[in-house]
Amino acid sequence: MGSNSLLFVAAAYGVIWVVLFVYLFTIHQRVAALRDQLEATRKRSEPESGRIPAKAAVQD
Amino acid sequence: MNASLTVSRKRPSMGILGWVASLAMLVAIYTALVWVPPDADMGDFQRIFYFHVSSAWVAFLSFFVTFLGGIIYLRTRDFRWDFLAVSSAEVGVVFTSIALITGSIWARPIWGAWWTWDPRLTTTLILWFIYVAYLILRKNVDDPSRRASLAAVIGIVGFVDVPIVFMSIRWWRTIHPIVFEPGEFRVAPIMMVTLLVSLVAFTIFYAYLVTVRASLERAQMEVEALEQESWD
Repeated sequence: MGSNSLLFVAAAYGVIWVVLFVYLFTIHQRVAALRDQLEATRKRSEPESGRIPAKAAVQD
Repeated sequence: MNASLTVSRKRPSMGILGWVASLAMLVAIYTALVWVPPDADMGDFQRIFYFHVSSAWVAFLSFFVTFLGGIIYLRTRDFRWDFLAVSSAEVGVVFTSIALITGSIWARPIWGAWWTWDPRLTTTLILWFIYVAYLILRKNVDDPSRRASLAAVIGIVGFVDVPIVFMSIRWWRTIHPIVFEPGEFRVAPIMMVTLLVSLVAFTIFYAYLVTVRASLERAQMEVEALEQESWD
């Protein structure tokens, strides 16, 4: 049984850790990507400073 | 949309729960692979059992939280419960997959087959399909309120399979081992301690995964809300 049983144990524990780490890594990547997207969307929706609004420029 | 959508601008980090979960997992690995002696009959194959049972436990816990989150969402319409439900369902699918794969690896040398249509295995596979369907459905509904309501109903109805999975080895003829009987554990005390350590470690790790996964859901919702605002 010896080395054969250890092979199966290693396979089972290997699968567990690969699945969990890949899952955790994927979530972290997705959270990081969404936060970048969030920052970009926020910046886009905020009025840009130091620029004359188009309406005001026409009136002048 | 709920006013409580506040996403931190910090980069994602481990946090205290992450470190506690990692430490608990290291202790569980040590007890299962080094500390506990091999089983008299099954030898080292028995070591698969500790993480297999713990994965199945976390899967049941996850789907219970999804069930509970669904009920509370339908009563309150608070999206935080929907975030909890979907996060828990996804983590539950991951742990059900682990339980199915590790069970299959254990079954090959012990039963002589990777898979058999045993009641426990079959009902667990059905459970996996139910919650995969739950996640697919969510991807295909755009309206957040409709998505959350539909998912809550599936999460509540789907939970019916959890007690069936648990009772399957008692209701039908099976070759799956029965470890827990009312008032009795069919394993040696040292193995019971190892199993308990593993159960605690997996439960803490589950809490960590759900916390991280829920932050993803919140961020997703806030991005959708901001994009909607910028279009309006």
